[in-house]
Amino acid sequence: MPIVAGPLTDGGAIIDLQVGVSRSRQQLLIKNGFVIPQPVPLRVLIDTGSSVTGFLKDVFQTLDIQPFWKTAILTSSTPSHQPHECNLFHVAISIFANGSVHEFSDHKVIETESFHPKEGIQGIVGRDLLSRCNFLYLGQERKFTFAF
Amino acid sequence: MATKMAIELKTFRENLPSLLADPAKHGQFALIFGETIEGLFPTVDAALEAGYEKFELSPFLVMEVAEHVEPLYFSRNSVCPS
Repeated sequence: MPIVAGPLTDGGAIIDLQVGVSRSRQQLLIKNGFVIPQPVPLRVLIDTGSSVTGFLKDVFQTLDIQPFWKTAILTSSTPSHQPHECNLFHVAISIFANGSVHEFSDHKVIETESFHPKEGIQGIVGRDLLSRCNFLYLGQERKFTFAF
Repeated sequence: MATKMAIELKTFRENLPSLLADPAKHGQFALIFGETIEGLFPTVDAALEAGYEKFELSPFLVMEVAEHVEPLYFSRNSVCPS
């Protein structure tokens, strides 16, 4: 099982990954003679408080992909009785571990507003992706392990 | 992009009452393209697959047939579509 291990920063458990177009879209781009956009490298926070994974909206513009689904979402600034709508995008997420790249080829993610510059992140990995992984948060030892 | 999605969303909203009138359609996922509901599917993935197969690289919309959709939770602000 590929493993990413690292120190816990003041911002939490942070990993690097790449976001690209979904496997389905890759195949269609090739079939129609288009170039597959280069995956976008991102630094993200592993956040068990989010049920869904989200990346900066610029990522989707760079990949030239459209949302395929609208659903309800609650955020830190929405009243609990009044969720708002958000767009979901179909992407492939790649993580470098154990000397090679490992891909979650079909994942649904939301687009987010900007993060605070001090956070140094461009996205959040939520419980949807974590449900396909093992995540060990060793607070006293100030380190984490993420296996998938 | 917003205009394109807006057409599909309008189509879904206009058709939702009739879809909800049939209990068998509750919890299904509608594949929408332009002003047409192209089909209902048991899962999001099945609707996505059908959308890619039929419309290839053209944008399409998938929506759950439900009176109330359980919200996702995100710890920061998401983008609110216009």
